[in-house]
Amino acid sequence: MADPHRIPRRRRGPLQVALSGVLVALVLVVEVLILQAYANVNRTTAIFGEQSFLNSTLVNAQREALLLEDEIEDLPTTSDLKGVRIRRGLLVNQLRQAEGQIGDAQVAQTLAQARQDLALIDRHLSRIEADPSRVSLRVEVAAMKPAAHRLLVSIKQLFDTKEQALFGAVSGALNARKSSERLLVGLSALVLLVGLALALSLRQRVRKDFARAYAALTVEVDERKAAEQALRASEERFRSLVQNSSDVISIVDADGAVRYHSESVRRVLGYDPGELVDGDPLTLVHPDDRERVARFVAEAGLRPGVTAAETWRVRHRDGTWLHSETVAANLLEDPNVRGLVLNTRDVSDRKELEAQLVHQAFHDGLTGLANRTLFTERVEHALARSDRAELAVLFIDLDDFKHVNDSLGHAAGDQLLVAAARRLQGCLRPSDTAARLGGDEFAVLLERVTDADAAGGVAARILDTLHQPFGLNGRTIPIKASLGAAVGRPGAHEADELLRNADVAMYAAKAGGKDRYELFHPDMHEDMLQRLELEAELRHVADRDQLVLHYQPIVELVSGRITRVEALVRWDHPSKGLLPPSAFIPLAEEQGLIGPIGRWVLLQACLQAQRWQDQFPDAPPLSVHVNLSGRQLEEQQLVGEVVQALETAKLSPRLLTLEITESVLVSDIEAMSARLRELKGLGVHLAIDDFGTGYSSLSYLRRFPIDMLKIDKAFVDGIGRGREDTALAHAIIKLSHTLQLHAVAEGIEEAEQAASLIALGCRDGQGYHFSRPLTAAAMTELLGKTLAAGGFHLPNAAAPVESLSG
Amino acid sequence: MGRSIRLVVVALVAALAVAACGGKEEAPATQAAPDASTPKVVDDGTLAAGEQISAPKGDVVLTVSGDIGTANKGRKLELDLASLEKMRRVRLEAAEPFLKRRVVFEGVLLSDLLEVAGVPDSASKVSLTALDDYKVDFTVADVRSSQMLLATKADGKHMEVDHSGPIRIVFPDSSTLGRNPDLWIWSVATMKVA
Repeated sequence: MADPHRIPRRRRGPLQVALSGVLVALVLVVEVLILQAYANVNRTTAIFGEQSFLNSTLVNAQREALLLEDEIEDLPTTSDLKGVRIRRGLLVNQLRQAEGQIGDAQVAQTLAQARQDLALIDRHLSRIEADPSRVSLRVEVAAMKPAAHRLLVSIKQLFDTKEQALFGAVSGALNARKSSERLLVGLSALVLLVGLALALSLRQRVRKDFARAYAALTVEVDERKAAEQALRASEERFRSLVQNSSDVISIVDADGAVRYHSESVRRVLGYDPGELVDGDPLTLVHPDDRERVARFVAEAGLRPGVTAAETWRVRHRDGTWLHSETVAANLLEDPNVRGLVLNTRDVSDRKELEAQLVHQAFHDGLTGLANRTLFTERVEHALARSDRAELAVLFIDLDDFKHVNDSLGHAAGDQLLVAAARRLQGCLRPSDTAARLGGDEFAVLLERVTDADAAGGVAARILDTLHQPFGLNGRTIPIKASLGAAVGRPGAHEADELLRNADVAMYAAKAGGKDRYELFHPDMHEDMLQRLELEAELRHVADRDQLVLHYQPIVELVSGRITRVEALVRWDHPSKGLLPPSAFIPLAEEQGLIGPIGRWVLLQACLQAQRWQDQFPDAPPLSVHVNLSGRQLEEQQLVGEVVQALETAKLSPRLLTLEITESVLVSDIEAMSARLRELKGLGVHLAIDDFGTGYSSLSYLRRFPIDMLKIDKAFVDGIGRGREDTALAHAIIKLSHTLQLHAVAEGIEEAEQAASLIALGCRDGQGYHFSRPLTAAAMTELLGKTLAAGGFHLPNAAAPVESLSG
Repeated sequence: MGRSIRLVVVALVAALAVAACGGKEEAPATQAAPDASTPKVVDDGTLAAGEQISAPKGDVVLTVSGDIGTANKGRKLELDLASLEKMRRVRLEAAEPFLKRRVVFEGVLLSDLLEVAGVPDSASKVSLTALDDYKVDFTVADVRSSQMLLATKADGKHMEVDHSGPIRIVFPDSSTLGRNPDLWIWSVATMKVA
């Protein structure tokens, strides 16, 4: 891989290559020239030396030749033959010298000529020696002279030539030298220039390379610095991570001894890191967890890598227990660590949250009681116990809680539930469990009850406690409840069964009139089953013509005249016979089946009223009373249904009176008020049924367009039994007068009661004293009978007795 | 980049080295064997210093004059080849500068001649003149130190005038004086000591 910081080793640029080549070539040329010049000088010197030696030899030779000529000429006078011979020898020696120096053709030719002349001279000298006479001397000398002169001349000519050649050679050599020197100087200058250019170019190049290298070096230094910084930063980050981490990071030796704790151990466990080092880490661990922790550490030491997280309890310095979660990384092989790195964090909050979530999953958010899941589990648990102790399950349903919720708001309802829960719990032992199963339904598990009676005792106590007045929004209301209890035994009962039994008992209590408790017995199951059956049958009761209307007359007390008739629905059950409204109307309301029943009743009552109208056209008009349930009033389509019933029956609205119970009115005053006004707008009359039993305040009587109050049987029953009860009835009647409402007394069973009511100013009444509810046919018969007396006069109508009021 | 500079430097050094070698071109081609080139006594001779030298019988080849203690004709000392060859004879091989070849010379050391001629220690100069009047001067000290030879034979033969004879001065190879060919005076005729 190429190192990016490596300075690229570039080849020389073309300019430098060219310059270098030129420089080397020039230097070589110069060197060659210098050598040549040197050689030339040497050769010139040698040649010069040779030439000058030759010349001097030739000069000497000339001299010797001249002297020889002279001596030969003088020979006749001197006769010095010996001197001539010496001179001749000297000349020959000189010529020999010259010949030895330069063997060129001219010299050779001259010397050859000279040798001939010398030979001639020698011959003549020999003749003189042979005949040293004067005559001979003269003759020989005369014969020698031309030769001697010729010798001289030829030597002189040779000398002249050689001298000229010498000067020529010298000046030629000098000239050649001069031109070669000029060339050398020129070349040297060129070498200098090229060298300078190369040096400059190289310098530039070196500078460039240096700059590049420096830049690369700078970059590398920067990078290295950055890398070091990054490393340092990362180390610091790591250190700070370790130091400031909320986790405790510990290093433990293979044998389990702690070598290091991070700073965070102070924050998490309250110890100085140094305090714990070298100690046995297990001392801080909860004794129950120690074995597990030791195993965890031992196993982490055997396997490379990171373990799964384990949680255990660790003691803080202040003695509290924390939940810690630890992960171990085996770095025994890592030369930097050589230990187990434990990462421990405080998960107490999480544990608490988990516990909270678990609690929430098993507890009711509002009251904090156990929820159905937990309750069921507890019951199952109790039933699974081996001690076979009996246990009891109580089901508690608050009575009429819906009315509290509707009239006082959900917040008040919630307060009531919380209060009920608290009271419930107050009645129990710690081992018992109270639960809210939903809505206004509570349950209690009583562990280890001796028998059913003991359970009953607790049930009674619970109802008592609930009864204590409860302040809500400035009002004091009692909490009433229906309670069912079932006793079970491990091995004999299943949890589901027990819960169902308690539920059945609770329904039995409700069915039995509320605000009471019932202990389960197997018959209740039968009742319950019947109830369920009834429920199923109820769905089709309106379609199957199983409903019948009975009619009870309402009598003008003073006259005994039947002015009104209350329509009362009966279920003509195929197997059970006639069932009263209380046996199925609440059930129908509960199951949402009241709609069709209500419509049927309304229409039938109107039709019957119109029928009577048709049958007895001369009799005074007979009003018909129809009961409306709360559910019906809530229905939007009620008004339309009333209209339709009236139209279908062609009944005048004023002959229809709708009865509603007091409790219905308090639920939603605004909506109810509007609904009642609509009905009133149709021209029908409105009556309040069972007046005096509900939570009604008097104020609403003015707000609602009410025409009539039907005084509850409870008040009527009291009349004549005591002054207070009579006064109460009187007060109600007076109230109706004050509000200009028509008062009807219900449940009159005795003549005295009727008489008292007349005395109190009550206008109308109904009850067994006058007539039980009758079938339509029986009612028609009764009406027919009474009509004879100039109206619907009941024969047993009480004649006005003595006024009590005086 | 350093390579180009190095290349130039190498080229220059090489060129200079070649030039230096060129300067030694003229070194002596052959070195004579030391035994041949150093003067070697051939014959101790009969003529010693201080002896009377008789007048020459043959042709006088050398006339010695000047500051001498021994004379045989007036104040001069005339010597023929026979007289000279009675002195201690020495042989040496030398490079003859004019013939440009090695020649074995035989003759007497000029210093021996000064002894024979009775030249006193006070004498300082020796002037030699040739037959053609060529003249060379030596200091006595040079004569004594240089082992210059007054040769009578070349390659075993006496020399004629036309062969630089009859006597001539030659130098052994080791002599610095001998490197100057002008001092190789041939056909020596007179010697004057001063």
